[in-house]
Amino acid sequence: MKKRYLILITAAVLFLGLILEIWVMNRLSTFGEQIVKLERSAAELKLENKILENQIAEKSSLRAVKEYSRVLGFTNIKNITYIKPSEVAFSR
Amino acid sequence: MKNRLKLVQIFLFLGIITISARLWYWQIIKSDDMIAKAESQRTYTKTIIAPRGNILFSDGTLLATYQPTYLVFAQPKLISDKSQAAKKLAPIFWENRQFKQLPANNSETTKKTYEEKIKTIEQEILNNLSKDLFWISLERRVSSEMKDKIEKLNLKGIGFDTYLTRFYPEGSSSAHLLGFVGSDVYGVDTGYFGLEGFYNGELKGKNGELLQDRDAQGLPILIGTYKVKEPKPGKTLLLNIDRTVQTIVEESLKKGIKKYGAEGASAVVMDPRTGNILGLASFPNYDPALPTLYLKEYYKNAVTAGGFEPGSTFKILVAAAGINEGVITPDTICDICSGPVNISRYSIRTWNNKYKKDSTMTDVIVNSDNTGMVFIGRKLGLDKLYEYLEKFGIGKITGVDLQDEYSPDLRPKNEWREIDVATATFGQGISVTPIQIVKAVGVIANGGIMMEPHVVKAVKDEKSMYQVSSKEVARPITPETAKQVTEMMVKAVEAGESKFAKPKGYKVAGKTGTAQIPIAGKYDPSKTIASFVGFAPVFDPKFVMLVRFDQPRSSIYGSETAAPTFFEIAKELFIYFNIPPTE
Repeated sequence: MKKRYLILITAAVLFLGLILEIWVMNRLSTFGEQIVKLERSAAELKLENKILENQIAEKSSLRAVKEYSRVLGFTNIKNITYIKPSEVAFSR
Repeated sequence: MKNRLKLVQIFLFLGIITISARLWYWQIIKSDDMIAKAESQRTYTKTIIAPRGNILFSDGTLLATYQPTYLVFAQPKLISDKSQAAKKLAPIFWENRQFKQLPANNSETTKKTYEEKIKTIEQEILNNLSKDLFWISLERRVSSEMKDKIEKLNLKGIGFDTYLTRFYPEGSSSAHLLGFVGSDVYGVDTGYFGLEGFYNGELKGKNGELLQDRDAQGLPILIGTYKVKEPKPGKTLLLNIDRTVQTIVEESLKKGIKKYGAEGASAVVMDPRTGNILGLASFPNYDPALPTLYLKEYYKNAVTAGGFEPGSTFKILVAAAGINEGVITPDTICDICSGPVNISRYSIRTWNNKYKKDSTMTDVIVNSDNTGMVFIGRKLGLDKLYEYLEKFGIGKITGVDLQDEYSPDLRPKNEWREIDVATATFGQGISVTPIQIVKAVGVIANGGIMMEPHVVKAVKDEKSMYQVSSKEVARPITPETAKQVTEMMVKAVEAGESKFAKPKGYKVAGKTGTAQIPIAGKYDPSKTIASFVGFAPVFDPKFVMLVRFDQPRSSIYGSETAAPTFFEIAKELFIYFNIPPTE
């Protein structure tokens, strides 16, 4: 009687395991599309990040800075006065 | 009835035998093939491209990096109105092909040209779309901006493939320094010339691979095979090149070319204490992003591969050899400087045919006196002169980390005649590259110590960093000799032909050079290479620099072309390096 009971439990566990596996398989098989979407969006974000990084580099390049400063009316330094330490008055 | 039953039995038996045989054939004999076929249908392999390493200026800003670029493709069978698609795509492709915007000048001719170009592109697209193909490439090197524009058109059957190309935030700046990236015979991205060529192994990285099981729709099977070998991105190069110095050098050279009507120009700025190259430029140059649009001759870096006869800039090296050997001092009197010097059938004259009796060696350098140099050459003799040329690195590559370095040969000693010794003393009949001259003059600036020039400061990846340290290569002269030659060079600047251009308040050591260009065995007096080499501030040099103009038209002399440009760059460097005047 005990043996029969054990066999029945084992069979039930195996059966439930099988059902669970089928259910998991079914669930996972539909995840492929989601994974592709996630992978694609990760790749796109990475590329977008790189594009933005490049845009920052381009906008902060000396070439661009020179152009902005020209538009803003900056000019080259012509005369610089250097102050010798002896010419500076120090006070406390 | 019995016979008919038997016949059916036989047919059934034969049928079973045939099916069994067929099954045996497919499942036993062809088993391996079938497994392979099933796997190939199920397994998806993809190469994951490793991005090429970045190249950074010394302050860490980007000089070269990578960018996503797109290939526009079409699936002609999915496109219903092909001519409409071609019409919509043509202006975007036109814009992508380097014509960034519509011409500002809206004259009839320009408009016509634009319309004609659009029509040609439209026809080209239509021809491609009309082909009986499932997939066809329409346009390469499409930027992300253009991709967005195409996407907004919402065209069915138009798609994009992503790949990586080089991106240069500073535009065509530093082309010769960088080199460029092209495809090798296998279609793989490879660096050519400059840093891209020299450090190709470090920059290229290692591609990764993805192995994955996919279903009939091409979607990944999560419980199947999934093996990924991550790509190893290329290493980053951190340069010694200072982007401000580089910009100053480039701008000044461009201005100089225009002002003096020169065919070309080049300059190199080096820190004599370390050999660090701070700036290097050469014109005419090219756009490293589109090198194929330029002549191949433009790829050559004149600083590292452009051999030229240095002319008078070479005199300081010969004077240094003479002083170091003790055969002359700065005050030694020249006893052959009162007139032209005759050697066999040749007569050696000064550049202005003016002669000064009893010139000292300092006067010889200040006045750039060829006869005085012949005097030093005679005192040194061929053996010693040759020994010092070798010590100063003439005839050998400098070891700079740029791919295309070339050194003109130094003729074997046994082939030198008396006239060759004489002309070599004033830089004629001997060929060098600008980087060789800068390296040699750097010895004088650095108290007699020769440093190997190098462009890269460090090579780094995500985990480690390899620092390129300064390398002393030789000590050709003593510190005392270096000091004496420096003083002669200072006098050459203060009392020489280029004194008008010298920045006030600064002590600069320098020497002009004007060398005629040998054409078909003869020197053309109207075609010269004008140069100026020097360093500053004299007692604590921050830079040694050479400026060279090829065939300047406004004046053939280095003192009137290369020297003013040298001083113009030097003035800006004094401000940039915060060097106050000392006088």
